[in-house]
Amino acid sequence: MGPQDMNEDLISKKEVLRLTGISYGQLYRWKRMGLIPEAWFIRRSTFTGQETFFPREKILRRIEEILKLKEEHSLEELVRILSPEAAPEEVVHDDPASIPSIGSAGREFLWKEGGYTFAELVAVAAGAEAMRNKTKLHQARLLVELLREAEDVVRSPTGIFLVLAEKSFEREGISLRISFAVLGKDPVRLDPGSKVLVRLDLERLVERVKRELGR
Amino acid sequence: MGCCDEGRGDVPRRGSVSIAGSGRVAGGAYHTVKISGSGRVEGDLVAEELRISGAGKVEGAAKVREIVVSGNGRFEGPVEAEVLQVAGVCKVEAGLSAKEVKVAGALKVEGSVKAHYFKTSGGLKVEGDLEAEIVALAGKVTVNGLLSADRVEMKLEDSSFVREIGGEAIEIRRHKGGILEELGLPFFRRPGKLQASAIEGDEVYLEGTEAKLVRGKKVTIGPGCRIERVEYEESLDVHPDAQVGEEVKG
Repeated sequence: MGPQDMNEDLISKKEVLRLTGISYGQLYRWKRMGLIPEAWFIRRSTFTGQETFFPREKILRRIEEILKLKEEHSLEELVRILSPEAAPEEVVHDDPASIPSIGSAGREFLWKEGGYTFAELVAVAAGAEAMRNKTKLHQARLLVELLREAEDVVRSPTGIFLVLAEKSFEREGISLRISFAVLGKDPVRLDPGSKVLVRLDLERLVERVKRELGR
Repeated sequence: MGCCDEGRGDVPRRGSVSIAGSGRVAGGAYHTVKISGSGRVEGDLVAEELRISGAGKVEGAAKVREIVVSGNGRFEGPVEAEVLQVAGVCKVEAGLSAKEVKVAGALKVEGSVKAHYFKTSGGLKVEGDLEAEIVALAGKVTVNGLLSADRVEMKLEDSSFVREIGGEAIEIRRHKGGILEELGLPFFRRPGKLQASAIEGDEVYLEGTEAKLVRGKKVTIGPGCRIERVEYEESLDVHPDAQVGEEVKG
C-alpha cells in the first residue's frame, strides 16, 4: 500500500455502498478478483475504530464501469478489461507498437514476435517514454530490463516511481559514466552525485497502458 | 532408500518417483511423487500428483495438480495446486493457492491463501489473508488478516481469532456439543469463542462472537455475543443472551 496523497478526496466504505447500491458481497468479491485494487483500500482510524476509505473518484468510476459492463461480460472478462494488472497472464498482446504509449519509439525494445504480457507491455512503454524524453537507447533499455522482471510491482504500482540516472567519475584523466535504473517507493533518493535523467510515476504509466489496451 | 526412474526438469517425458522408507529426490518435473515413510524434495517441484504418507517435505516452490498429505507435510516455498487434501498436519511456509482445499487435522499457512473452496476441521492458522468463494471452518481458527468469501461458515470450538471477516453470507455458530458433553462431562466442555475486530456481510448470523464492529443488511446477534457496535440496514435481531453496545440503523 503506497503513501497516499493526504489531500486526495476519500470516501468511506459505507458511503460507497450507499451511493452505488452494491452489496458487501459484491465489494468483497470484486476485491478478491482484483477488480478493485488492494491499494485503494485505505485504512484509517476513526472514532468507531478502524475504517476503510477509498479514493473517491477512482472507486466510484470503477464501480460504475463494473456495473455497466457486467451485463455483457463475465467477471473474469472484466478483470482483463478493467484491471489487466491483476491478471497479467490473461493479457497476450501480439502488436505492442499499436499501443500509443509504446508506438514506434517502443519498437526498439521488443524482443519477441508476440505474446507480450501486461507487465511486459508496461516495461516497453517505460522505455518508449524515456526515448521520447531524449534518453539514449542503451539507457532506456535499462528501464525495460528492470521492469520486465518486476511483474509483482506492476500489479500494485501505487506510489512507485521508476528512475533512470547516471553518475560520472573522473580520476587521473579517465572519466567513467555509469547509468542505472531504480524502482522504488517515492521519494526515491539517490546520492547527490547522481543525475536523474527520467522519472516516471509507475501508477500513471500502468493506468495509461491499461486504458489504451481497453480501447 | 529412494528409488528414482528418470525425472529431471529437462526430461520431456515426466517420470515418477517413489520414496519408501527414507530418502530424497532432486527438484524438477515429475508425473507422480510418492513419499511413504520419510522423504524430501530438494528444490522446486512441478508434478501432477504428490502423495505424502508419513513425513514429507518440499524444499522449494510446489506446483502440483493434486496434493494428498496423510501424516505430516511441509512446504518451504509457495504452493499452487488444484487440490490440496490433508489428513494430519500440513505447514506451508509461504502462500497457498488452490481450487479446493480440504483439511482434517491442522493446516498452517505463513502467507496468504487464495482458493475457491476451502474447508478445514481441526486447527487452522493463516498469517495473511484467507480468500475463497466458499469457506467452511470447524475447530480452532486463527486468521491474522482478512477472511473474505461469498459464504463463510464457522463452527467454533475453543477460542478463535480472525482480524476481519467480509463477504455475502456469514454464519458463525458455536459447535454443538459432542457425545462427551452430552454425557455431562464438564471437563471436556469448552464453549467456542471468536474474537474479531470487524465483520461485514449482507447476511450475518453470529454466536459466541466478540467483535468491535458488525455491519450488514440483515444481522442476527445470537447467544454468547458481545458486540461493541452494530450497523445494519434492513433488520437486526439480538438474542437475550447477547450484549450489543450500540445499534445504528442506516
